[in-house]
Amino acid sequence: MPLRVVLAEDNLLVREGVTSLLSTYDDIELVDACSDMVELMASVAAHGPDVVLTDIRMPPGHTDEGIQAARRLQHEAPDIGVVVLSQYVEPAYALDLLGNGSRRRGYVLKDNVDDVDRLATALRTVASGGSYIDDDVVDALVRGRRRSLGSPLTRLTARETDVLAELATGRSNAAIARALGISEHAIEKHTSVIFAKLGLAEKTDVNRRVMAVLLFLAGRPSETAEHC
Amino acid sequence: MPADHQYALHGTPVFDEERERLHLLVVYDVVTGATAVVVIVMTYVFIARTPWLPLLAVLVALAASLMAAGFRPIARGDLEGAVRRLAVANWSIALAAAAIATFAWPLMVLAALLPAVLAPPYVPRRRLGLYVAASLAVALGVATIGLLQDFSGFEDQLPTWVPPAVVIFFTPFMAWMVIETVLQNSTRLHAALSHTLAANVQLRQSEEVLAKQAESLQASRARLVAATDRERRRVERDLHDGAQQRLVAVGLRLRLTQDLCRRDPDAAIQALAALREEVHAARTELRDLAHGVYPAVLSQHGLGAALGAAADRCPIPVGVDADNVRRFDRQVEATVYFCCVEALQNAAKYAGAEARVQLTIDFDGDQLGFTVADDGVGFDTTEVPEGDGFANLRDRLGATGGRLVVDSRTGRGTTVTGTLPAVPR
Repeated sequence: MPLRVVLAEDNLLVREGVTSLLSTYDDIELVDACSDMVELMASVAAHGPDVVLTDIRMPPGHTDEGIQAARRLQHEAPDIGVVVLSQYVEPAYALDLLGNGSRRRGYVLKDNVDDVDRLATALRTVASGGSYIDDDVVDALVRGRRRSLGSPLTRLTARETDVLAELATGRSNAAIARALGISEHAIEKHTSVIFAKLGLAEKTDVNRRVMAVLLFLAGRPSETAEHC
Repeated sequence: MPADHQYALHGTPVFDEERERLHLLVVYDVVTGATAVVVIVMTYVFIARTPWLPLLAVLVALAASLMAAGFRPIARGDLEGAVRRLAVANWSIALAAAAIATFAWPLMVLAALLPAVLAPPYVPRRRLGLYVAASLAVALGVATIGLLQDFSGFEDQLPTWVPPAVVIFFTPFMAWMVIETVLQNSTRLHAALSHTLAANVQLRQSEEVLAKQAESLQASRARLVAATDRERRRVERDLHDGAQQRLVAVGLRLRLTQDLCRRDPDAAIQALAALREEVHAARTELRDLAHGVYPAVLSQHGLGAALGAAADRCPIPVGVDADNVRRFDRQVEATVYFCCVEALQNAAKYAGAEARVQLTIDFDGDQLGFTVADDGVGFDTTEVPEGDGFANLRDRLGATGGRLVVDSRTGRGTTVTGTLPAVPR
């Protein structure tokens, strides 16, 4: 069963480009391509896709229509995943998207859309209930947190910081182990230590873990997204 | 509604002073009249029982009543009305008394002139002429009646010492009223004049200050406009030299790659990979340029997020403390953002490669403030006038009612602090 995707992107060239890119994957089927938020919501109602792939800035307002669409879908159709394809590397946008929980939500930078498998991985992860945050966004978050006064990140070792960044992308322990070249067991141990050092309650569910880490990195540890 | 008159407007403290003054004068005049009545009655009782005396007493009493009738208009604020009554009373009694007691004509001349001397503060200029003319006419009439007739023969009925005694007794009273009135008029005129002069001097000084301020505002505006133009040119230049050139190069390489595709597909694939790098670089440049013009993240998410990104782009390390900054209106956020960015650029240029920068934003409920502090080489503020680097910041902040403070010591780093009034959204 191919993954059914609806695309929303107001720029013609990018829309064509992403369409072509997705057509190279056998397990992904682009059901419809829209150019503004109104069309998107109508298309979702008509086609019932598994994942929505959307730009942030679209007509009518050219502000954060993609994020608004994600919020609406959270209420109206919570089983549909949303991957936002954005030109904004600033973490504030990603946090906006995940404000209502990280389940079935992904954030990929347009800059990296030509990185062959990134987009496909994001779509697949989100469709199966997980979360995906672009590495570059996480990097910006980590850098930001390190910069702020008296950052607790200074308590972590370099390896622990790497693991933390990986946790923030939403990857599973297995995927992190592969990415860093260490065992899953080591990942689990690192994770416990990290959470202890940062004073965070440990979460077993991957989605809750992502939220906890992201919120921490954004400097809002008191908020917990319990409605993941 | 009483009419405006020459010196004072109804309702002002000056008017109340005038009112007080007139009130006193009328009291004085009435008392003089009453005294005269008493003297006349006593003369009748103790000195000479001539029927002219009671007649005179009645006439003086009537005149005094008419004057006293001026109290009500004074209370109402109709000062001219009171003066009118006083004038008519004085003139009438002057003529009547001169007709009957001819020896008293010098006193009555004074009585006739009093209205003309009293009137100026209370009577509008156009009617003042009437009072003066009437006073002159009555004075002339009094002198004529006093000197040229004696139908009553009243003087002969009195002991010879009485007429001189009366005149000598009442002269100081009458003279005093006239002198006092004239003195007061001139004193007040003098005071009003010096007040006006002082006010003029102050006005001139204020004008000078305002002119200077206007000049400096104009200069500031001109600088801002010039800065905007420079920015535009810079953007155009960066676009032209950077992204545009890259795209031209990419176009050329694509053309070449097209040819390669058939001849040497492997080489073509490599060329395309290189091209992707070029495109990435162009995108980054364009993004930075867009940030320089106006970063979208600033309008969407505010100062915290935007300054974090700006700090990232700074070549020397920057610590940012702006996590819980609220949202303010566009112009305030833009001012603070661009001032901070410029301060960061200054630090990157002048503080030295080893320096570290700390950027702080705070809001005290009234004023939004930013501080960009580096621990670099600093400069001597007394030696170097701050130069262009800070003029722009000052202008930007000044345009929104803010101020800039620059503190630096050679070897100890530089701290730039800006504040501006702000209301959270």
